[in-house]
Amino acid sequence: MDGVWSEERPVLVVDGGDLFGPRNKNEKHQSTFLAEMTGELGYDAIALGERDLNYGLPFLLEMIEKFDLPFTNANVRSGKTGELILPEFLVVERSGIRIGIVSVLDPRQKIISMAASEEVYQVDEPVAVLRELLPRLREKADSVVLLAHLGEQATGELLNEVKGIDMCVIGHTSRNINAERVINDTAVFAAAFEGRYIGRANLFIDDADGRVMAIDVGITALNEEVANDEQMLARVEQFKVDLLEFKTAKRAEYPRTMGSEKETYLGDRACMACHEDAWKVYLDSPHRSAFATIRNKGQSFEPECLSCHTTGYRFKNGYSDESPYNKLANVQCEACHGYGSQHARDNKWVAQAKDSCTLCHDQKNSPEFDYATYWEKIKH
Amino acid sequence: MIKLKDLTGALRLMSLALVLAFVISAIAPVVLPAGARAGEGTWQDLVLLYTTDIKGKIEPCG
Repeated sequence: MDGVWSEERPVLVVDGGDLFGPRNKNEKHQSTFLAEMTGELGYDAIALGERDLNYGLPFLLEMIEKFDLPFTNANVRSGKTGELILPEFLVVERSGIRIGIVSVLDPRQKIISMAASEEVYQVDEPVAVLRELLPRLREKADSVVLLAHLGEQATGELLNEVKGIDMCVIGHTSRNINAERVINDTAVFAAAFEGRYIGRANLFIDDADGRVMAIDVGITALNEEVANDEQMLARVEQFKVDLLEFKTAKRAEYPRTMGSEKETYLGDRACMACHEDAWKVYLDSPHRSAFATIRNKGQSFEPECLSCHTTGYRFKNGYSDESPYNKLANVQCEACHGYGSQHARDNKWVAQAKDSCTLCHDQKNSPEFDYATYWEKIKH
Repeated sequence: MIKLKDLTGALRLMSLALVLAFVISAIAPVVLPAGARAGEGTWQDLVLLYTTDIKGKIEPCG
């Protein structure tokens, strides 16, 4: 980007959306840093992707405010107020040409927020939205850029139905478009993904009507052949140190201090060999889907969740996300009964299973817990 | 191989036009249909830089 700026030609920098990472606290921490860096790179417009609401609208608005991020979207509304959650469009000027930038999100994408409050969004149909919006936008802009967070196929379908878009950058895609492409008079671009590529198009725009006259497209892979910006690199390296400290501090709240280094968890399949009836009850119990519950909410790296949704997270040789300890996902037999290695040796139950329940079914996590009622659900 | 002199006048003209069109397209800069409806104004230079789906990555895996 420095190279492009140094050419002293007018530059427009845009992103097709899904800037933020998966729904967990570590990633939220990382996305905060990414938002800061993105703000410094000087983007002119950023589309809203469904992932950008992963940490909730208040977080997104905080990042926009704090790091001056030019997010825009024309079809996502608050389910409560019916108002658009972001600016409907942006207009920037380059070489006397007013460039209108508008973005739409695919209504088929699920927006799932890990914010505490339940957030509901209404996503309007992009074609109808753009047909209504574009005449208004063209009164304020000579040329129009659409950031289509729709994927390649749906973007093509949309462009065949909507006139008046001069340039389109596709989001929600994992494919680069390496050559010049035009759909229904719209020049179309894509450079995917996870920061692996950046696209550059040299454009000539007719200043009479804002239409793209000629393009020359190049996609650059951001690999080791591209020199790092030393200042940015130093900050990224420092951030990685900070992130490790952040993760370590979170893990430290749930230390692996219980149990014995000499004992091992054998896993539920080992139990099945002698306790098939009990194992069948476990198969149908909520304990067996405990890990899926947190994984589906993007919490599978959260120590505070893992301690009760895996087996032995706070015990020596207990669950970890690394093999072979990752086989101890879910609340398996040994989560209540203790190390299988010890049981196999002397045929005694290591722990009083009844006493194990309230370690997790406490007032905070399970306020309605009643042993007799809950036991019926897993009786074996 | 078919030679130009073997063709009738009309066919010869069409063949020449095709060859000419091919040569021109090979040496001309990329000019797109998007610009086919050019107005009366002048062309303005613009560099478009674009990314997408960064998905929280501060550096790519691998």
